Order: sequence, then structure tokens, then C-alpha cells
Amino acid sequence: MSVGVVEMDRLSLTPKTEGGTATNRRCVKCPEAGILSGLDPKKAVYCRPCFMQMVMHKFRSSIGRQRLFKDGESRKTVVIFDGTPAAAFLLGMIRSGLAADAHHRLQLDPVVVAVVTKLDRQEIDAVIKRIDTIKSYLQCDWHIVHLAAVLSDNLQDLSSSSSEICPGVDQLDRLIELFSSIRSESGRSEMKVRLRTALLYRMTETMGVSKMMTSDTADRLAKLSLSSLALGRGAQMSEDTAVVDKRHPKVAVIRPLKELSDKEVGIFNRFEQLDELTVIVGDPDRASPAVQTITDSFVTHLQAGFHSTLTTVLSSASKVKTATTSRIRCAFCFSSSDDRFCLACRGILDEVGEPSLLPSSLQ
Amino acid sequence: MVNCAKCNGQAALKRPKNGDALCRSCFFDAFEREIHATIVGNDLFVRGDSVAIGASGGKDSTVLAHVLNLLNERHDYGVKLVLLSIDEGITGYRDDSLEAVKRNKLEYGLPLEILTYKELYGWTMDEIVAKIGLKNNCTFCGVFRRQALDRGAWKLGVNKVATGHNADDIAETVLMNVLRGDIARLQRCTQIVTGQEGMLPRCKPLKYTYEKEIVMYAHFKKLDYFSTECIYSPNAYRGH
Repeated sequence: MSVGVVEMDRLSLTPKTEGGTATNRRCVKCPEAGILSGLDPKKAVYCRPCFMQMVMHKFRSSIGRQRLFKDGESRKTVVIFDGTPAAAFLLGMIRSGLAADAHHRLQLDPVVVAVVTKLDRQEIDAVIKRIDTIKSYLQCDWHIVHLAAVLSDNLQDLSSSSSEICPGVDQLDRLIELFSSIRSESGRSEMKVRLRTALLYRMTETMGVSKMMTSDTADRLAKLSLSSLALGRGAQMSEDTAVVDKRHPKVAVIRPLKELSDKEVGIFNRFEQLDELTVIVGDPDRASPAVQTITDSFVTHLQAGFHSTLTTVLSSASKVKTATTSRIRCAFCFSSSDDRFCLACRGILDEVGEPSLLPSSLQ
Repeated sequence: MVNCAKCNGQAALKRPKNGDALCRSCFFDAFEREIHATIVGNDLFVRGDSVAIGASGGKDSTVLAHVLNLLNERHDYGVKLVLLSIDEGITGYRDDSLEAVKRNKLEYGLPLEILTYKELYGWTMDEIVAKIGLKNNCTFCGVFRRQALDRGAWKLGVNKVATGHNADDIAETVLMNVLRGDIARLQRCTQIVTGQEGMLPRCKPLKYTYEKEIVMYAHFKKLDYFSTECIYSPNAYRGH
């Protein structure tokens, strides 16, 4: 969990002293001892309550700044739950935000969607059972769906009562076959991500909802920026990392945790006992190297030595836009394109050995 | 036996760029054709140009010199080529690679000009490093070399400089500029021709050529080059 240079004692979460007493420093907000830090321990240190305040404030201001829920805009929002500590954190923020008094209440009406990407039926059942126990934490509609649902051409409106506990499982074999027909590990990884995003867009749109919220942290987004760059999606860098991403004509993607690091989220979760809300919804990355896993390790390693890596990458990414004036949107990822599919999506679709396995919208 | 994808003869290698199995001559052909396409497609040279090839004696500039010389003849670019080398004064590295350049000059029959940091700036890199230590010296050296190339080019009376930057170099530079947040450089670094405002245009004919293919070409063509990395390079940010 802890990626920064200040080593934390795992039980007490106080820093091990490193070249002089860390506890000599004062919290930057109040006179108490400064024992916790964000990305860069050399910059700011906080006492526990001020740290928690700082983290919550980052979340609130990310949303508040965007004026998404004002001016009569519908407050209904799909909240994507991927079982990560960041997702657990997001649930925690939403719950406490909704419980606040009228003046401070979070103006958001959540519908939680969890996408299961496990490929083994028994494991899928286990994930569903686990999510069932987490559901009660946030009282609202929860929809569990399997990634394979994206392969069917008709996605029923999931907000209507469906007898299926986890729609999409019926297409599981087709999905497994699809992945097996892709030549490279990077290709498989990329296809998984693209299909998942396409599924979420379709579901949200079918439900008549115009916003979906992800739990992507600074770490996740910085890593995504660099692997996207390596995979030919450099033109999408600013959209991929924006707090509000409006490339899809009907659904906006919101990333309220962009300013938060995995480290900050991890510490917060530990103090608020939100770790109980985590679940592993997919298969871990295979040993065989892929662009994405190599990039992930690269960024983590670099961040350890150069503390401003994450913020710099995100800052650079926000400034890289496409020069195209084309109004066409890629049918797979909805970014600007010169053709039915953008070059990068064309590339990943071409890697599929059995194109008939794809849904007709992608063939 | 694996067949060459182009001519069906016996394949000798697998192309790093696209995994094609090729025999030697089809590989040479593809390699040279693609560079020719880059040169023509981007209007890098016009008839009558006088071009200085930045020659370090390393694999990129050796292959560049070899291929430009070859294509100039084969396709009648009508370009005058000269080799331009910069001696930064790094003992055990630069003096050895310069010997390789001198051998190139003899082999291709191209004129060679060598400029040293000592003559231009009064300092060798060894002296600079002794003064400022091992960090950040690569940045200095890079800046000095660029200026040195310009000065050398002016001295030779050429109107263009060609360097051996390859696809891997450009990719590294893009990544490095993203990581450092240098948006201005990021915008310029992928251009195939740079430095036109008031300075001599510098082009990169090997911009789309993979480093692995350059090594492969040099190996199979038995080209003479110097292959050790600079002794100061482990400390550069680029290395990370």
C-alpha cells in the first residue's frame, strides 16, 4: 500500500523515523504533531484529523468545482464499484455525503453498478455473494453484471426487475473464446478495458442516466496515461484523465478521485475501516508481460524515487489534445476519430482472431 | 525451414518491426526502402543540398551514413554528403568512437570534419564533470553538442544537418517530456525537421526506424561501429 519514501509502521500507521525524527514536524493545519503525509512527505504533513479533513475536502471540491449537479441537472449517477480500496473509499464518501445535513448534503442520487470480470463460474458466484454482503453499506439500487454482457446485441434495461442475478454470465464461454483468440497479453488487457467501458456506457445510457462516476485515483490515471500513450491513444490523454469526460454524446464520466493517491485512500480506509468493502472482481494480471503491467510497475518505481511523478504525468496528460477537427466519434471508445473506429480501436479489434465473437456493433 | 515472406527463399531473421521472416537481402531492401520513403515523403532533401551527417561512430550514425550514401546514389538525390564529428573530450569513450568514424570516412569516401569541445568552448567533458560532478552533465553535453553541430555545419558551409535519431530515441524523448512536464519540448520533439527558425535545419531520416533493426542491419552488413555507452550516462534521467 505505502508507496512513498516515508515508511509507515504497519500497525500504528506512524512513520518510522528516517534520517531524523519525523515527529518533530508540525501539522501544516494545526499545532499538533504531523505524522501523515500525502504524495510527498517533504511537502505537507498532517495530524490524523487534519489528514482525514484534507482527503475529504479533495473529494468534495473535485465534485463541487464541476457544478455537475446544479442548475436543474438530474442528480442520478451510476457509481461504478470495482471492489478496489478506491471504490470502497468512494462508497464511504458518498454515504457520509448523503448523510450530512441539508446544507452540506451531497447532491447525488447513486445507482451502483459492479462489473465482474472473473472467468471461472465458481469464482463469479463467490464474487456475487461477497458483493451481496457489501450492498447494505450504501442503501440504493445495486446492479451486478458480468463483462460478457457486452457481447449480446440487446442489453435489456437493467433498472427494470430482471430475474437474472448477474446478467451476462450466459455469454461467458463466448467471452473466454474471444480472449483466447487475441494474440498478445497487452491486447487481451486492452480489450478487457475497452469492453468494460463500452458496457458501462451502454448500461448507463439504457438506464436513462447521464453520468457515471469512477473511483480512478491519481495512480491509476497516471499509469493509464502512459500505457495509453504507448498503445497509440496519446490523442485521448486529456479526456482519459479529465475529472469530467464528455466524449460520449449521452453519458459523462466523472473522476472525483483524480487528485487523490492510492496511498492517501489506503490510509483513510484504514482509519475508517472501509477495507471491509473491498472484493476482487477480476483475475489478477498474468505473469506474461504486457504493456499495461510493465507501465504500472514503471510508474510505481519512478514515484518512489521522484515524488512528483504522478502529478506531473497528470498535468502533462491534461495538456495533450488531438488536433483533429473531425466530428466523428469512434464506435468503440467514443473518442475523436476519422473513421468508424479510431486507429487504436481498429488495431485492437484487428487482433481478435474470431471477429464473429464480437457484438455486431463492433464487427 | 522458414521461408522468407517476400521471396520464399530461406529466411535468415525475424524483423523486429512486424515479425516478418525475411532473408538478408529482402531485409536490407525493406530497411532501405522504408528510409527512402521517409526521406521522400517528408521532403527532407532537395537537389543541390549540402548535408552534414552527425557522425559519432556509433551504430545509428554509421548506419545513417551508409544508407544515405547508398540511397543518394541509387535514387540520385543529387545531395552532397559530409561527415561531421564532435569530440566532447571523454577519455576512453569518444577517442575510441572517433577512430570508428575515421574508418567510415575512408570506407565511404566522404569528407570528414572533427570539432572538439576544447576548441569551441575551452573545456572537455571530462573537465566539466570534474567541476560539476556526475549529475546533470548529460544535459550540458547535449546542449553543447547541438551548438557544436551547428558551428561545424556553418564551418563546412552545408545547408542541412542529418542526425541518426531513431524511433526508440523519439519514443524515449516523448516519454521523458511527459514525465518532466515539458509540454513545449513535447510538442517539438516528434518533428522530423527541427530548428528552422534562424538555425540550420536538422532532420532525422531514421525517425521511423527501430533501434533493433538498425543493430540488425549493421550486423548483417558487417558495418564498422563503436558500441559502448558513454561512461557518464548511468546518471542521466533518461536512463530511468
